[in-house]
Amino acid sequence: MDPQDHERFRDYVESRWSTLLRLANLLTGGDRHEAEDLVQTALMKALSRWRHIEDPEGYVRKVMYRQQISRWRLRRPHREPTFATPPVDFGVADGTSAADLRITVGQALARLTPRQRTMLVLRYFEDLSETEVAAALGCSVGTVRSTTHRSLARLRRLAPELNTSELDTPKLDTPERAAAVVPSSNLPKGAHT
Amino acid sequence: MNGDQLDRVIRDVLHEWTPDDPGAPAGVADRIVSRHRRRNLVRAAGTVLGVAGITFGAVLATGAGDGDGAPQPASRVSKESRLLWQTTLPGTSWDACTTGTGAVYCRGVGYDGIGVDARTGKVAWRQKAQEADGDRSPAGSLPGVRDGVLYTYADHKPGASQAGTDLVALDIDGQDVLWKHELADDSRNSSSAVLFDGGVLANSPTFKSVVALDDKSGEPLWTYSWKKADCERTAVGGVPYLMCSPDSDKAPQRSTVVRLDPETGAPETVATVEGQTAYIGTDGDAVLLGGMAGGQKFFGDAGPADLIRVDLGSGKVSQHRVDALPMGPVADGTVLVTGRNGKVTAYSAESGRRLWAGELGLELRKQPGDPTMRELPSAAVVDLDSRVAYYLAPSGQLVGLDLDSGAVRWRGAVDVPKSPVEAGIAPELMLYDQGLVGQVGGELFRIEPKPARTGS
Repeated sequence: MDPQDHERFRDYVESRWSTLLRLANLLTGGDRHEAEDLVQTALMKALSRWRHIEDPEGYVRKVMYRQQISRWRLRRPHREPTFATPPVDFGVADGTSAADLRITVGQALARLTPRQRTMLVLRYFEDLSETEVAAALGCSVGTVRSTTHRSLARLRRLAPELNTSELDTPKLDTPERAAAVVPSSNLPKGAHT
Repeated sequence: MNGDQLDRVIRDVLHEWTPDDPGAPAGVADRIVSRHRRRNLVRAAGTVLGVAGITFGAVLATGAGDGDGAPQPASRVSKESRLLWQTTLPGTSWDACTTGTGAVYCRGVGYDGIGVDARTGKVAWRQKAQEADGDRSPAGSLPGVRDGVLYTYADHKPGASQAGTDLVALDIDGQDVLWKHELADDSRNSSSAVLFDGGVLANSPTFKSVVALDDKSGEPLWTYSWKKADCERTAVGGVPYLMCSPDSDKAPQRSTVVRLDPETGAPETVATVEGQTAYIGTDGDAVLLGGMAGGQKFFGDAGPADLIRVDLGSGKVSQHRVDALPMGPVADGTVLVTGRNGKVTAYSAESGRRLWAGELGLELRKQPGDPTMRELPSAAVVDLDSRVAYYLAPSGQLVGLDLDSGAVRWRGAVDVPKSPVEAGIAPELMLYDQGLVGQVGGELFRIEPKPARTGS
């Protein structure tokens, strides 16, 4: 690795750490240590192939996805998130019921299995299509569909409030929300594995 | 709440769920980069000595000069550590373990697989072997863990006098056998099954062939076979390689390093080296081989040897004379060779230069009635963050040597039950989350050593 590659890697890590850690937090269900471990593991893997990687963001993200679903998935006691917590102020003026719902859903997301949570994060945070999720995780579209279906069903069981039709749902297209969405054009395409 | 509403809530929660302090830790990128830089500096030094093609080292590296040989004076030796847990595994004998995220996996007599929670040391699940009769082939290593699947070994015909060996894909969640594939023999070593990007390279159906298996289904993807050679297998950067050496005096007396296309199995010869070679290990993007240089008949015979380095990218071969075959783990440009007497010698993986030699100072008992046989320490595991090479003795004693100088930086011990001398049987030590996981017989433990800082 020549100095230019070093610089490129350093710049990449420092500029993208926050974004990657945010994704890792979602993938790990808010476990700070696991999230940092996930990011560092992915970066180490990327570094060993740095010169050959054309799309570092796509590569690192893909490593994180796959690494996360391969992580230990024993049915160990549920741990509450230690790092990321649903914000108290959601930024919309639709009353406390929506905020409560988001907290409940956030906690339920943390209790999904890594594979279930990863599937939802890829579909709803990374905004990947089913085909893109299948490619990213190395599984079939059918698996994506069935896992997503099971994940949503489990989410509904963990957060029964989601079955209550009267609840107001939050408005989504606020400027803050729009800014937070990862543009699909920036999503990993054809990343290395 | 209908589906669209649910979608919107989930999206909203995910996008609002942000870390409190997502800033990059100071110097995290530099820490990762500097580790690679150190290794590259060592490589660069070796390159200066070399010329294109095969280059013989100008100096017989016997440890003379420039501070080589004896370890630097030991600085303060730490005895600080934290034993996180110790577990007595079920069953009578355990022969190989590996670590995954959050877990330690082992296999042995009576169990094809067992999962131990790395946080608590509690046995989380166990997969019993069929017809465990105590005569099963031990495994030198476990192929590994990937995507929630433990790749392990089991008897092909449980209970039979010649049971054979299956490579088994075991789903960790449900302990279901996803698939199994019969191997060519009962070697069960690190070459018997190798994980690569896209599959598992298994030594099957004959000793002189490999089959690439889909890691999800176990379906064969492609096969590759060879003649007149014995080939070790490994994966570097997810790509499978064969290190082949002539299998007899009648075979062409040259060794080859062959790259196999992960998709198709198409072979590509990376480099050819005259004579027989033994595979030592990998150092970054290079394969290290050893060759006999003193007229020895077998690789185990004493005498000078050649350390051969094959750069997998360029195919460049460099060759350096060393005083003994440097067989041992390779860490960040250093080959760590442990003698039967508990002495460790470190060689540069670039130049073959002897960097240092030191004593482990571990209790290694001799076999009663045969003093030439004695207990073995574990293979070294190296924590590159602290640059310490750790070893474990069957007695439960542990030691950490400075990777760069050989000085003892840490000593520790774990209480394990007294057992008869098992000459030739080594305990196993693994790195786990900046600490160590060790296995001695049926004892498994996790310990966090706190080695002395260099120069302290």
